[in-house]
Amino acid sequence: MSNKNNHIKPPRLADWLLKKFTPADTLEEVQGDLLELYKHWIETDDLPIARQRYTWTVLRMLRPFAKRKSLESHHDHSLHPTHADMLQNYFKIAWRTLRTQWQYSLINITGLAVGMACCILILLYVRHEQSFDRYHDGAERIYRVVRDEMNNADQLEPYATTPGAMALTMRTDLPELEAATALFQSRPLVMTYGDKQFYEDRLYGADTSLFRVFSFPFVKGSQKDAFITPQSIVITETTALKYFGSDDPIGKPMKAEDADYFVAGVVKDVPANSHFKFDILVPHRLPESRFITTWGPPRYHTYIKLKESVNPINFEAKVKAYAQSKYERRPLDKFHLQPLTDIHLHSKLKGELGSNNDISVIRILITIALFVIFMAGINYINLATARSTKRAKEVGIRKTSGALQRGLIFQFLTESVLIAILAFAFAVVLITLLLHPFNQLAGKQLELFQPELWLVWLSLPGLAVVIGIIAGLYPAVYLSSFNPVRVLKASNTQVAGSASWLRKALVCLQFTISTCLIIGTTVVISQMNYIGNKHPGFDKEHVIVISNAGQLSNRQVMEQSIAQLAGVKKVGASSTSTVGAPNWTGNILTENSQTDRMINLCQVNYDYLDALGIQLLEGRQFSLDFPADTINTIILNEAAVRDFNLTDPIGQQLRWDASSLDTALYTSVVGVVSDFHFASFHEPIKPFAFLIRNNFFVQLDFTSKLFIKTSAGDLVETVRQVEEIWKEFAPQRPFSYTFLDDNFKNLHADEERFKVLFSCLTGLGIFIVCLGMFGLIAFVTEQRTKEIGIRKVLGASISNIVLMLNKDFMKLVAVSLMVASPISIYFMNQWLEDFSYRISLSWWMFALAGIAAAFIVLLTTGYQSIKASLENPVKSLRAE
Amino acid sequence: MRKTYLGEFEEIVLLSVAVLDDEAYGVSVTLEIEKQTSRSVGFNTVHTTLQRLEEKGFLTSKMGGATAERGGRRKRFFRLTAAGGRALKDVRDIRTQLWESLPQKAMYLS
Repeated sequence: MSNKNNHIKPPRLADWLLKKFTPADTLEEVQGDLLELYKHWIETDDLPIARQRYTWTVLRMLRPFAKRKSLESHHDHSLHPTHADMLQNYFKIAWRTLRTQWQYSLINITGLAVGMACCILILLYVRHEQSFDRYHDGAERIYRVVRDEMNNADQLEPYATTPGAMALTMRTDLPELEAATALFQSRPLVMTYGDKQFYEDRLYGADTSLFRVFSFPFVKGSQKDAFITPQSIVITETTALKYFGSDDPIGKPMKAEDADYFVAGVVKDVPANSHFKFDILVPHRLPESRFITTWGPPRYHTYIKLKESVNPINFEAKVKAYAQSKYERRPLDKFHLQPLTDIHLHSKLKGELGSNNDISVIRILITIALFVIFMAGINYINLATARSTKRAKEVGIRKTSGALQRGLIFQFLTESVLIAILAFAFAVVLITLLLHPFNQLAGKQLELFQPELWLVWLSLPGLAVVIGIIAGLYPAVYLSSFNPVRVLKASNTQVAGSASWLRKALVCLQFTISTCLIIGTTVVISQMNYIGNKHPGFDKEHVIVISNAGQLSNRQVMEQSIAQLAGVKKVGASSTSTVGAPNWTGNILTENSQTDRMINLCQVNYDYLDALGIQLLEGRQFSLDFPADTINTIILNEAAVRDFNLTDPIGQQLRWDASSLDTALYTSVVGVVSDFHFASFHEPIKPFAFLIRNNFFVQLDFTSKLFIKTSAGDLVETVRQVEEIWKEFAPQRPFSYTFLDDNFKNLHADEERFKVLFSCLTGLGIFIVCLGMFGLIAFVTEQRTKEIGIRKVLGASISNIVLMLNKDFMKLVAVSLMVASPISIYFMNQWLEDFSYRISLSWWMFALAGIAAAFIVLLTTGYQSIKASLENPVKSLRAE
Repeated sequence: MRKTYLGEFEEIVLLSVAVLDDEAYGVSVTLEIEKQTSRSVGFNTVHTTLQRLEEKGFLTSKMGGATAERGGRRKRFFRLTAAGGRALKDVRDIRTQLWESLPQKAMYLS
């Protein structure tokens, strides 16, 4: 009987767990006992019940962290630092220390809280920025196909856009693809349902393949029916609510200005962390999206999803070759794959679908946030070691009464962890208060208590404890190492002096970081001022921009009516949105050359140059007096003249790059304008050419933007009059306008935002350093009360004493300025390198930073040192 | 005084060890308690209690010889220490004292 049972092994998993988690010194007996019991159970009960009981017993035996206490120590086990009573005592002592020395505690807690709040906000921000487009299924397999526009001189212009047929043909020709889709950014439309009418500018042309690449979950309708007819459209939940309220949107008609649609599907709103966001998806519309099936003009965004086993590097090479062979129109162009998840932080191409962020900005912010918390940690170390005079006696007495160093370390760590936890609680309060301003600053809608952030919130208190331990470790070891005999005998100063070199070094480090930050802020602010004040080469004041004027009948009549208004000087029309990036580039050749030169193009009307005040240097403007002004005439900027090496540009014949045309097309230069900034100051002024929108010549009108130059007078009235005319000519479109100077400012909105964030973080960092210094100077003056008293008795003046107290700090400021300067020169030059038009670093910035640092130090220490020097020496000398 | 504090279950385990004399080890103690109190006792509870009692100095233990029946694994035998005996006696005394000071009518309350 027992022989048979010998072969019945207990459950293997339970056995394994037992082996894994039972302390080694009791494992053998426990295993034996359990095995014996198991046999007993088998005899008394059934086998399955025995197995159950065995497993259950094992599970209840598991105490992964339990360690058998050594038997020798059982006499003094109550002194063991992890004992519950002792822990309670640590907290009690820590709490008392915090309360009796509340000024120090306040300084520490405030500093740490501000640092933590900064860090957490930046952390949330960075998390958000890094989460872009990652919510799609298999996001790591999704790529965007992008294109470098090339010419035969190897000039290169990177674009995000590709030909429409790319997705279509790749889908059938390349087996590595799971899905591919082309997205078309449609022009804004007014959509109507019943009496509800809205202007929709987040409108994209798409087809069902979009849902095979991206995950936009359907709330109503299905992927299959999404674009089942040319009239079917897909809208987001918010859009559905806007038009239909609580009614079922499916099948409801929506009228656009040129077509009737009906809703075939409703998808969830596009998350905020998407590089493109839509409200409405329409089928590819004619005529604007007529190139969807051809390798024609590159106006589409192509996204592909690779099959799981495909190596993207090999596949990119294949795509390159494939696309180059297919794209006969521009055989020189080079294609690349861009990971979807990289777009938001790494991509800055022509034709991006949204404004992307810059990874270097993220890195800088993280660095500064870490600096800020680091400086708060230094404060803790400095104040704790400085305070050691007070604690030295306590340590001495504790040690003589039998405390071990280990116990003392624990006690001091409890203090610092307690401070860190209090600071964390305070930081959470700060964050909830600061979130709204921060969101406005960063241009985000971050939320604190989202369900997907639970992990962050769980780990943050842990982080606070870690910060407490790191900051408290050195002071704890230092304080607990005092020799009781020495500290109880010695006078105060002897003990406290011993860590002062470390304090000095740490303060110096803090000063260095703050000086770097001050210099950085100065540089960023002066660069932004430079940008703000630099004349862009055109008049940006008093210009109203209307950007949805494309493809209107009677447009030119409308322009004329607007021009006749009293407050309007000129009405320009152009094909580019702001003065920002032009919407296309072309290649041009000088008469006898074979080498292409890339040039930015823009189609304008006759009054455009005047409306924007772009200065004509040579030749003439386009004019109605010259009926021959057509595609055959061109106005260049200076950069183009230099680039083409033209000595006498007026009248020169230029040849359009003919690769896509059968016959050579010539154009002659009629004028040259001075350089102006048509793009942001990051980019150098590139060759630029104006073409004329000719009233007689049969060609497409690309000028969709109006630039209305007004006289400085009553702008509001002028806008109202323009609106009236607009309503008369384009009643189907809402009147919306911007101002050119705002548009121009928006080109640098990201930098502006960065500037404010940077300055705020610098401010907070300096605040924390000030807190620390305030605590330190209080300590120093307290230490030297007697000395000050004696000096005063011997005839020292107040200024002598203030100077004496601040001398050390001033030395540190000087040292840190010397260290900080080269570091900041290096990093700020790197930042400035991104700008083609930039300031250069000059000595006054460093001088300013030094003076600012010294001034801040004096301001912080002033109160304490003056107070100390004013004190009556009789008092300080009598007190013993 | 504090050290002699014994929980109810600790007392039972301690008593069982005493009862089992030389044969007190995890399994035998568990089964003994089950037999005597006719309540189901988890081996894990007995095991930890034995360890605790040893830490408190009421028990000592030593490993026995290898036995074939449990896969060659040795048993840990427990023995009452003098302190353990004292603790048991203390508990009994306190209890007797209490019983003796009970007023007569309280006996009939239940």
